[in-house]
Amino acid sequence: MRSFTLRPLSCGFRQAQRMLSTTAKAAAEETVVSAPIATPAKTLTKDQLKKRELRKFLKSKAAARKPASEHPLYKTIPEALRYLRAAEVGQPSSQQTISLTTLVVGEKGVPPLFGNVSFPTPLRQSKVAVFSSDAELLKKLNEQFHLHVSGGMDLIASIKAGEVKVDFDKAFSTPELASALNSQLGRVLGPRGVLPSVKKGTVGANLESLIQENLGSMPFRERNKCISIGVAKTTFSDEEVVANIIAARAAFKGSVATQKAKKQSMLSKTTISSSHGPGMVIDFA
Amino acid sequence: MSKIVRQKNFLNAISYTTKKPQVLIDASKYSGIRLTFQTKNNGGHMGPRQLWRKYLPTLQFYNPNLQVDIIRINNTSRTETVPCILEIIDKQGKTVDSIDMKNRMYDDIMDELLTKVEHKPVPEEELVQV
Repeated sequence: MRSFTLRPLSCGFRQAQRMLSTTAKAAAEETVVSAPIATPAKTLTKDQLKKRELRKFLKSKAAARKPASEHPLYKTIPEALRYLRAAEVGQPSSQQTISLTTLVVGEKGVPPLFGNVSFPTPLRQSKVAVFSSDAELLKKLNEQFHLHVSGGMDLIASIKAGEVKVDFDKAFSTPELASALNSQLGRVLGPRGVLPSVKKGTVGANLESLIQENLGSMPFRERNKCISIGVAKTTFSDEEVVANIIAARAAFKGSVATQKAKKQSMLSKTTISSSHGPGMVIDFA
Repeated sequence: MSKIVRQKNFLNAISYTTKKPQVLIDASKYSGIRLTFQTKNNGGHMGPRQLWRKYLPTLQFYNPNLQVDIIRINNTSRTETVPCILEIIDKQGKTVDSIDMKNRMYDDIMDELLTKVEHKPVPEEELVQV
């Protein structure tokens, strides 16, 4: 009974308020400075913030220790690949890359993980250039690796003149040409990241072993507390994909083992996904 | 809706909830299908695109060895027309049958594909649900 009588009353009150706010808004603003209605944001003390961060860190650490099979989206790799291949149906092959993402749980100030993975089945054939004044060596390497371009001082000159396009992904050089490359092509090759240098390990006397090591390798680096890397194409067979994932795991674990820190980072939840496909959790331990 | 529920729905749309393409196509007779249509919708090319997005993932999920080729042609001219056909390809790589998909809805195209291809529905116990 009571609520029945109250309702029209409250409605009327609201209507009156609305009337006031529309008609006499300007006047009201002049006379009354309205107080802010929203409650002020909760400010945490430094101590509380620290505690919250610690709690978050411990939670993620505990999650990293759990087996992957407890996750609701856990799939074995062949099951996951079946879904990914279905999701990628009819897409151009350049957009059918399967990628692997691993969360990294590490303490503050720990240097990020990085390294190289050399895949048993590379995602694409990389184009290689070799600079050397030794013609016989070039001939031998050309037969072995199907080099994209190769040559000595003449090649350097023609690249500088723009006659030969810089469309290779990796370049190697023998030590006697390194300084000439640096001075003449530093501006051309440097920004593209294909200038051979001793620091990168792409200058050396024994080019054969250098190219062998570097050919199918892919660099990875921890960013935003995760490592993400393309591991395969959907056209690969299940065995090839699994072999590539195992290679990636070995490289990730190697980089954790060589990390320069008191307490090393941990690898946590690992998901596999593709360009247009869903992400699924796989066992990576 | 939580992230995990949304992802489960995505997976189930491929393997469980989309009922019409849950068929096993006779693998001894056909090697694949080839769709040719325009990249843009105009001129009645919307049906094949929707067929591709809605039904082909499930069809591929239950027929992993079926080769599905999609050729999309970019056509900006108003006078020229692009073919809008679905070809069914046999083991020798020859076109056995073709369907004209122009000005048709995806459901309609799928129905015709199922009448022209020998198939049987996926048994209930083989359906995958997440």
